[in-house]
Amino acid sequence: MAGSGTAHLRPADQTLLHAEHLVVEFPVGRSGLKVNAVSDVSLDILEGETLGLVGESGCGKSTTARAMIQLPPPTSGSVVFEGQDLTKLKGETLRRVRPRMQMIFQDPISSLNPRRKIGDLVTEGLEIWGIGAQQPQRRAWTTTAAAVMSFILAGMSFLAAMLFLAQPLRSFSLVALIVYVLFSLLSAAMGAWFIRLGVALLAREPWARFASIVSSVLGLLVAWPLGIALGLLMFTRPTRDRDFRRTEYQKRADDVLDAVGLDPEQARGRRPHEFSGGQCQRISIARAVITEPKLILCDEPVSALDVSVQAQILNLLQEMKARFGLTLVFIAHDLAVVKNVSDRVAVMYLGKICEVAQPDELYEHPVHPYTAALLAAIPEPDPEVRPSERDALSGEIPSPVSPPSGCRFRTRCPKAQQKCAEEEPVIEEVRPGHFAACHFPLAEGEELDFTARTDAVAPAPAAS
Amino acid sequence: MPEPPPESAGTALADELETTGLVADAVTVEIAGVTAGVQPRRKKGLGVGSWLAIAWLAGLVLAAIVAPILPIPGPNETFTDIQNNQAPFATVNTPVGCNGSACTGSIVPFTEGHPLGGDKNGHDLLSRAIYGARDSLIVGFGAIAFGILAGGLLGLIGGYYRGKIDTVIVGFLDIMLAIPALVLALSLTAVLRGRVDDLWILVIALGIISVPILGRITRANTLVWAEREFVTAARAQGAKNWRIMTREVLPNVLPAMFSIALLGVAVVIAAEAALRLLGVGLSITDPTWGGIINDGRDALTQGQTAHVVFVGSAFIFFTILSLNYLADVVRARFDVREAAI
Amino acid sequence: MSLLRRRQRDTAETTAERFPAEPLEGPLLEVTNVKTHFDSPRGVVHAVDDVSFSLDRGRTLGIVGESGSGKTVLSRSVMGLLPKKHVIREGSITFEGREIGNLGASEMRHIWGSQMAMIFQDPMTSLNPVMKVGNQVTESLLYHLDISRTYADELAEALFTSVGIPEPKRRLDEYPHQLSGGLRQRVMIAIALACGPKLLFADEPTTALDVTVQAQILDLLQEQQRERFMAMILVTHDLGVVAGRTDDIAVMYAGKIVEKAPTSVLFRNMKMPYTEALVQSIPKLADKSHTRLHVIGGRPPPLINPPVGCRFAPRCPYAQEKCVKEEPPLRESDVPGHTFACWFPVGTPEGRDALERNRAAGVTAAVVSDGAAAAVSTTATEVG
Repeated sequence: MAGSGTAHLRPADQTLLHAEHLVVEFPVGRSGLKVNAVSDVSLDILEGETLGLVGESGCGKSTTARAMIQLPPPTSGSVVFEGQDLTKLKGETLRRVRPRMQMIFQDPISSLNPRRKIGDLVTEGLEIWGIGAQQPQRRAWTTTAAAVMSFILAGMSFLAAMLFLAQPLRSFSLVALIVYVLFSLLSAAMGAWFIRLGVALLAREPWARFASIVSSVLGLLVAWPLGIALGLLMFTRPTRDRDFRRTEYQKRADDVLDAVGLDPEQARGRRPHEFSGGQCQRISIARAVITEPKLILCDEPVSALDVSVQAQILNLLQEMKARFGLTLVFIAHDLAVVKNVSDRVAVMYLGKICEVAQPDELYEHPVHPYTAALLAAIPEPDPEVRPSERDALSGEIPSPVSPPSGCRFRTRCPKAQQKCAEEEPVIEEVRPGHFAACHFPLAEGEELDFTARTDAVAPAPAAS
Repeated sequence: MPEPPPESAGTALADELETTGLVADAVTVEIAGVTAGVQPRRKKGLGVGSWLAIAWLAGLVLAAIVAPILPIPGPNETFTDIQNNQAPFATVNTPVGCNGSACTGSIVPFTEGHPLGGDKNGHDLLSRAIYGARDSLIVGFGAIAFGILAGGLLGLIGGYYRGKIDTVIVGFLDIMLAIPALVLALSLTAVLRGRVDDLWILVIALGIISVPILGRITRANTLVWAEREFVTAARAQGAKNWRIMTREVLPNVLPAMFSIALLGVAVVIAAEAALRLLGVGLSITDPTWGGIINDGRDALTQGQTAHVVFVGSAFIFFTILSLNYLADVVRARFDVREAAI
Repeated sequence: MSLLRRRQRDTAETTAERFPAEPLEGPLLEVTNVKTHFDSPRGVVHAVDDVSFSLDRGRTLGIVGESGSGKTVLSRSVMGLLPKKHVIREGSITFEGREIGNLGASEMRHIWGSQMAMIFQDPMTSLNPVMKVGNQVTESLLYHLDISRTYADELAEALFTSVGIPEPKRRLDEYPHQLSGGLRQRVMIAIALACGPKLLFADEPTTALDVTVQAQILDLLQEQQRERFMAMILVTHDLGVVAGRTDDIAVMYAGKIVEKAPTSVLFRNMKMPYTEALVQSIPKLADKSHTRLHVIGGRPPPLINPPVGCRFAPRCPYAQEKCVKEEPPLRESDVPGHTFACWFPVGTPEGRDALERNRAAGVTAAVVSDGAAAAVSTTATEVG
């Protein structure tokens, strides 16, 4: 089974995201081998749709989705998002698109920085872009120059202090020490403030420019350790409207935390380890929606959660989608969950797409043998349904380093023939709106016996 | 929510379970869920050991700073009555004669005002030890500060960016690692003697030595933290690399680095003592812990009294012990145990 | 070398002495009023509170619960794998008529592996990463049985074949990281089954595995169980897993068993509202897409100073005042073997009335009289 083919794609001008012929390969150590994680996958999403990507571990669903948002960019292929080809964007231009595509991860606790408070975590997106801040950001070369200057001066004065002050330093008195420290603090503060003032006024007042440089030089010569610290501070905190940030961003964070069902008052000041898995996932969702993205990639968001919490989060995602007008890519290995949330489902196997269809259609009339195998393997919470050996897919998934030739599923497929080993199937429309890549798709009502073996089926190479 | 969200799971319980080794992670998970609502086990204040360590270090630093105004004699003042290896616990007047090393005088019992006795030149040992603390502490903290700044930065950058940058940085650190401390110190002494105070020579030398060590450790920690999903999340939000490094990765790497740094200070102090003992940056009048040991060497090898060596070693020992202990406490305190679901 | 052999003989003798081969009357495992509490600085955590069940030879019991329900602690308690400090244990656990709840580790070592075995959730962390998998299997064999090294290797190979590992001879020399998740789990099953235990604990054995591999592993467990006439306790949070493969199911919540029944009875005729809510909140394949899932609002109660009444009351749509004040006892329903603890069970007239009343009022009647706001609306908004 191969996913080569674009028959299932809709016209590019209608879709929000249109990915064609994605290939992602990773080198394996230094052996020269490559892991073919994703081989020629094409997918698209309409605005407001939820695309479900389903498959087992190693099928490349997570890699495909991350390649779509360029984290990291795919080895080859094109991804057109809102009219732009993301694979052609680099550096700053790509970065600017990022707030419009966000991500939620599988492990809720490790996807939050354990050292930061929830309030900060959630507003991070706004902080990075200074969204709505009144003053334009001073991340200009002037700030950088000032910081570099203070570094150099601090370094020079450190050396000077070492060379000339070392002797008196070792026999100084307590009084002298106290005086020195106070004086240093004062001059460092003055110097730093003048730097900031100078930077703010650099374009305007020549006298301020002069004063700031002179006073900062003097201040730094005397107060070199603090000069280093303040230089660092300058470098990492460009001038911005602080008050605006504090109040406006906090308000938005509160709104969003409330929308995901957490109490902002309680949550704001706490750290992630004080919350349960479900609550952490809510925080992740809050963090993702605060920048008002168009597309959110959900990478197995409920796999690590309990059943009852899972239901809460799934309902929450639906709510958020409606409220913020989101488009979702939902990755999961649990077929029932995927069916519940998706408008369209794509089944993947070993880096290729097997089948694409609407969920109800897919689950009632699976056309690809792999989809049928997945459906048969799901344990039904119904004691009358006794699982039988006939339904269990045998063997192991082959290694992505050397995938089987032709159709990659042929090593485990009960319907495999010689043709499957020679020719890679292309995605075709098998039923209306229902696409699959298979030479021998299942007919309606056909049941599969997975214990059957045909000649063309080679024993599965052990995954290692 | 009507009740505050649960605090993190009972960390002590999780510790127990992991140390017995009999249970897999699932139980830690289960216990974490079960004990939701339990406050993290924070010991009431610090233990006795920590307070002792802090007391020693604080006392030492304070004494070193205010040494000139302390009621102790100067480090280079000679007192003939305590000359030559006076033991505070000797009880008898015994004549001593060192052959070939010009020791004269006798061992006399404890003299008022000199609690630790004197060395062979009649200098008060307590005073020399306190003035020596200055040098040791400056060298210790100075060298490590240099090492953390330079090595830490290199390690952070290498561990975060990986790839070619990392290869270059690791290579550079490996080269630095290959420089023997003694050779470096000797060469620097030879080059900079007279122009730069020998204290700073040692700071530079030991600082350079500590850069690759701290750099490798920082890099190892950064590698782990940079893999975490919250870093990907920050990248997905469009944060620039520098921002991610300083706001996401660094705060997580710092606690481990801090405790390693304290350990490093201990090691540097010991190294400095060793270098002084060997006569590097030799300045006979300057009191240093290694110098004290050096001064007492003759008396020790010639079978007289060991207390001079003992005094020097004791100061080094307690300082290093306190630093190590605090390093462990810091690490344990800041080790964020993230509750599993 | 001789020392080792002597030690092995010793253990073999004592094991045979202690556990004679002839089958005993009565259940294989009987757990009575078992409590496992942890002593923490904030108080005593009632992880497992008064749990009783029994298991016959060859039968499968499924223990279902979410995290925090105490199911893992229960299985560890029965196996005796709890930490040494800060644990308060009560109750009796008898295995083949012999009390094992109070045995120390040195005595339990004779039981572990040869009488009772356990397989864990994450095979990666449960296998020793620096030891070949073959050695991990033979380790158990050599400890419990008086056999030679070569024979142990042969047995290990046979075991690997029986658990369905392809190319078993080659696999013996591999390390865990060289195997896939499914294969590692098979290795773990081989280790557990090596000495032919009478009881197998499977603690979430398939949670970390893909769905097709999950089916294979569960089939394998069932097959081994049939062949060896082994009892099995399957601990999981997945109702689907227990549905087709267990004889009885016990549902746990907040440290207690709230419902226990033969499997088909449980699904057809559940009495406990928690069980009902649990089943309702699972997305099912048969549902249409975008079906809104039933949500159990709120979170499990804290296990330090657990509430006086029914522990599920704050989240229960059937709750009444009585539920908060008095804890319902476990009682048998008209179907034998079906016990549950509820004042207003599902499907009974009292239960239906209670639900109606709550729905009409818009809020459950479980309001605590001392003023603490425990009232929960039936469209629960509390989050977990």
